[in-house]
Amino acid sequence: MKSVTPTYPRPARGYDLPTRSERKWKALLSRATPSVLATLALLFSGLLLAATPARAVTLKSFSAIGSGMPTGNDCSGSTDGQCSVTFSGTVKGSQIGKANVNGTLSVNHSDTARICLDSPDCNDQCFPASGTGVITTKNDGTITFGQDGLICPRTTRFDRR
Amino acid sequence: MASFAPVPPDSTGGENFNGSFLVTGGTKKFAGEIGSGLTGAAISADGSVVTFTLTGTIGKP
Repeated sequence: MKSVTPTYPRPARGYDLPTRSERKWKALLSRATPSVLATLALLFSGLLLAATPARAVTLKSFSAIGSGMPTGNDCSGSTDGQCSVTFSGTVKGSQIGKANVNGTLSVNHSDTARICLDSPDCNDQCFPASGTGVITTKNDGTITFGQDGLICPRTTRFDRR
Repeated sequence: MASFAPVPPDSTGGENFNGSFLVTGGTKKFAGEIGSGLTGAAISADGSVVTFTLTGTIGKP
């Protein structure tokens, strides 16, 4: 039997040059590498940030209690559903010692805003109220605050018209 | 149904305000202070006497 020796085409000059497919992949990788590195850097910095413990907030208990008097209208005669009351007084408390306090409350006493405690009669009702206040200490500065809540009759009912 | 407008609180007979407070600013020692009290704001008015209470926490971030 005649043996057949396979013949291969002689490689052309520069046969070790990459093929078209290899060149394509190389170009793709060279384009992709910077963005991959950037993504990795971003992820790494994100991990570093996540691993950094947040600075703790040390909260101290705070209280202020005192008394005073109304300094303006007390909502008497208000007919448009909105009125404001103001007050002023002195307080004593933790963190502040003895201090002065001024505050205001805007009361929404409209028919639609009231909250009936004994619905449907609505003889007992509360009104939404919110406002601001300032505590002025002797030497340590001021604390400004906002407040939000309900104003309700203590023992007797608000009158009806 | 009869509609009636509630007469606003006039501090006669006594009213209580109950709510939350939020520290919104400060000066000197309390500059940058944050704080709040979820149910910590109370004002009670009876005639010409007003009592005032704030209870919560404050601190610096």
